[in-house]
Amino acid sequence: MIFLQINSGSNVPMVLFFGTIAMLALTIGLIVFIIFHQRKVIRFQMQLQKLEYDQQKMLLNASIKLQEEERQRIAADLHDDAGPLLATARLYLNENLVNLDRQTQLQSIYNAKQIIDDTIQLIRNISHSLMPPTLKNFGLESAVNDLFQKISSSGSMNASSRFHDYRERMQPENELIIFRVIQELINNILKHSNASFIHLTQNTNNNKFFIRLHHDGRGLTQADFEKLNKSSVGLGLKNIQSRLRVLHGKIFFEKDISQTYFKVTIELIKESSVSQ
Amino acid sequence: MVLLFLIGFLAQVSPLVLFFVFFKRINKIVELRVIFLYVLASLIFDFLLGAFKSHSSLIISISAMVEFAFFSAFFYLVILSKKFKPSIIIISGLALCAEIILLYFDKENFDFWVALITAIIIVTYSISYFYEQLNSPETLIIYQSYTFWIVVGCIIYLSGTLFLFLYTSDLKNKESSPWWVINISFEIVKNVFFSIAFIIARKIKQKQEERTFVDSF
Repeated sequence: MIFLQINSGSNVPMVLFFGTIAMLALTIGLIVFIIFHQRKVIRFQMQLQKLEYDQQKMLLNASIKLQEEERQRIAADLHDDAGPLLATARLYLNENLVNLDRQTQLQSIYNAKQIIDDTIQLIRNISHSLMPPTLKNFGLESAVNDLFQKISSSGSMNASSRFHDYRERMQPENELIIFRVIQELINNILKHSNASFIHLTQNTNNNKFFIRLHHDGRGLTQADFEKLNKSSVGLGLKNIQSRLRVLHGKIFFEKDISQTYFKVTIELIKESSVSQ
Repeated sequence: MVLLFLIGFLAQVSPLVLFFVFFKRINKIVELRVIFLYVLASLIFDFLLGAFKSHSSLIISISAMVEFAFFSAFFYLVILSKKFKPSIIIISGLALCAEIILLYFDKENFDFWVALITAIIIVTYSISYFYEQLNSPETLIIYQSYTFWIVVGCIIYLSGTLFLFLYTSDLKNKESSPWWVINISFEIVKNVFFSIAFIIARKIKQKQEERTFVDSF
């Protein structure tokens, strides 16, 4: 009936028919577009979530692996160094019981004392490597200065540090995290960069806390860092990332504009702003 | 044609029946109450149209205005933007006033203007609704929401019947014209979508009820 009307000569039915079809097509098109667009957005969000989940898993694995390595190192130190030392001391003391010659007794007691002193020093070193006493007692600035002084005095590299605005100490656990990150970065520079100097500066700006490391060796750019972070290698870098995540911090690797230095910048939100 | 009228009647009644069937679960949803009242009003107008054929033009005109008012009320409830809500009241209020004035002064072209105003305003509201839903983090899948099906029903009906109402003054004996098939067909589509919305709303409410529990402290 409608088609008969279309052919009836009047212009109105024609417009009415095609107008209705066009409007309907437009509306259905709009609805279909909305549904497909939303599905596309959801798919994209799911992919992002998966990527984030994979990244988190990788970081967690890295931190577990690192923790295990640390335990193995401590176990090896205790087993290979402290164990034999204490066993030797025991031998000397045993000999002391068997041998009644006074001179030999004194000598073996002296030897046992020497070994026990070495063992104490060894255990202290292990303990210091776990929690540096300077960091615990005097804070991040002193601990970093101490670390840099040790590097400098080794003669292999010129290391210096300067804290411009660190009047109030952070929470001890946060200081430890930052110190470990700096330690890891320094380790990397010592191992891979072949640099002749490292310079560390600390500063604050608004509610941000910055630590910047400069060195003149071979370094990483942000792209390298992200690439290594996504791959199965670069355990130390993943550890840095997971530690900074705890503090909601960021890390940037870049080459200086002069192309002669590499810069590593750690950016954190100041504790006072976080608590607010 | 009789069969189409019968299907049309069944489609019109189905949202009402579903509302009563799921009354316990969905009667507290204000948007659905608005749609229920709208469908009920449409049914009453259809009966009036059959009863007072001599006043069919006036009844169609008034029903178009009532329809616009209900759709505006629905969109006022579903659009969450606090900035847009006052605009809905102002725009729809002004449009209704304009339609009443037109009904009084320009009966000849009333249908044309009402169809045009309703279509433009409701399509604008629909686009705002879709935009809001797409940007809302709470919306997981848009077609799982009952409001989506109501909005789809509204815009398909309005866009499908727009040209019919724009040219209604050129058609003799509106409701007996073969072109009136378009109106009935789109009313069926609209009511089917409304029925789907009622079913989805019941399912959502059912899931919500299953998730809630009382702590026995």
